[in-house]
Amino acid sequence: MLYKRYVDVIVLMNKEKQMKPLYIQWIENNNNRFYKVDKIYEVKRSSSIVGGGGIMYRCKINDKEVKLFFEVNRWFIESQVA
Amino acid sequence: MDIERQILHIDLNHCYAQIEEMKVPAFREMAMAVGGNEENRHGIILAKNDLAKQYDIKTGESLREAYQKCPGLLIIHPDYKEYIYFTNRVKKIYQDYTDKVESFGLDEAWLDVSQSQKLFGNGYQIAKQIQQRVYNELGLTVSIGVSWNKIYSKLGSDLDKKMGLVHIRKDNYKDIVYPQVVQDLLYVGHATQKKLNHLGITTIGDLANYEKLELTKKFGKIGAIIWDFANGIDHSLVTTFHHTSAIKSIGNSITTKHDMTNYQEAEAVFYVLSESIASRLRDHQLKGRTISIRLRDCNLKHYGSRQISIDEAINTSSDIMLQVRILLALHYDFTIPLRSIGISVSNLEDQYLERSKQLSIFESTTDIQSMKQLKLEQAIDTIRNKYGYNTIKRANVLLHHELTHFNPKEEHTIHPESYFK
Repeated sequence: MLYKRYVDVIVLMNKEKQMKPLYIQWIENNNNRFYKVDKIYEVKRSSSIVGGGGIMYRCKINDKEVKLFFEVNRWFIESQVA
Repeated sequence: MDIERQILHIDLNHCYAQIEEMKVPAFREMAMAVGGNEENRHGIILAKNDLAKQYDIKTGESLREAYQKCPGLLIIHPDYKEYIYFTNRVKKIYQDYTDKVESFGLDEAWLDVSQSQKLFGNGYQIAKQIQQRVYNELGLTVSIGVSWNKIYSKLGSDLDKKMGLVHIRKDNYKDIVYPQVVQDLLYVGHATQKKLNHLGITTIGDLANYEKLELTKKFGKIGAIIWDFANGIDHSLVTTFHHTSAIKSIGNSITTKHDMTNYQEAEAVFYVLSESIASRLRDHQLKGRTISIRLRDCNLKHYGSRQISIDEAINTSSDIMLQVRILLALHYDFTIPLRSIGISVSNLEDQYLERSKQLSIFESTTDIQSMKQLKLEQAIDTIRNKYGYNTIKRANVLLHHELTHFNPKEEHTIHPESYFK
């Protein structure tokens, strides 16, 4: 099952106002970790199956394919229920 | 070469409910409706999803009626900012195909893609692309009607509400359009439908085959118009996206938290409305010469519009109130409490338009007074813009806090539109 999880993201914004997510901050059980966005496969406008949508970055994080969304003014990922 | 017009009418199906479902997919599994606030008595259903429809819940009925039909109904309060954001995103997609996008309310639009066919394919193919893109990019479904005129394309989009796509061509319109009931036609309302049925006209085909002259005799101008509509004769253009028609009137109305039982209470509410209207008039640099009020009592009886026209155009709330007080005293005696009231100012002109006026040698005191009043109200506007609406209010408005605690200027309401602009 996937659910919508808002996350903190470190982003590089270039002079053309394009954004590139670099790291995702993940806080769990007082554990603060940064995950590197290893590769971005695709960027496009899309809706999400967990509701909402926006600019979708299909990327590789921690050897897994993850969909990261910029929705209006914040970021969320389609996250697996642990 | 003359290209045949390709007009698309696109309808975002039960718009508010669908946007809520898109944001929270779990809503799809339950009967859900978007509705107003019962406590403030704006308690009506604005949109419902398919499951709620199975309980025969209708748009426009009160929340109480809806709960009786379906006690488990989930009511979501409307979030107009969100709806405007998403509908604008949808319209951005339309604009990728043509600049001729004419909005008809938030959720409907006409597109003229006649000149875009070389780039994107014919009307039907463009409709397919738009439908797919809106679904992929925003997760919303639209139904589209394609035809050579605005009337038939609107009919087409109404035929299949579930992401339907209906192409009405000159060789098949008789099969598709004619069997439809006559009230599906634009501008055939309840009253006209009754009269038409009385003449034995139940379908659009009946209407199209009726004698036009007879209809004009019976219905006047509108008779000829609906006959043309039924026959697909409509040459009206699709306006471009940035086109805004000139403002003809500015008005506000409100259903108050509890009924107004006396003159003072109604006056306080009218004050709040007149401030909003005066401020909006000044925003648009306009002044008006006709002031009208609308009244509705607690039995939901309308009293029509009572209006007064004056020589000098005005745009301050105190001037508007002067006229409103006269109208109210003339036309209502408060034997039955009032439920909702409204003001509207029309006959508008540019506020800087100086009509030739004989000036008196000595400045009259009323001129000085109205100048002072205008400055005062502009100062109030500035304070409100900077520090918020509730920071400054009239004292008599505070006496009836329950009734007057609203901000008609900011609390955005969406008005139904007219086809003839």
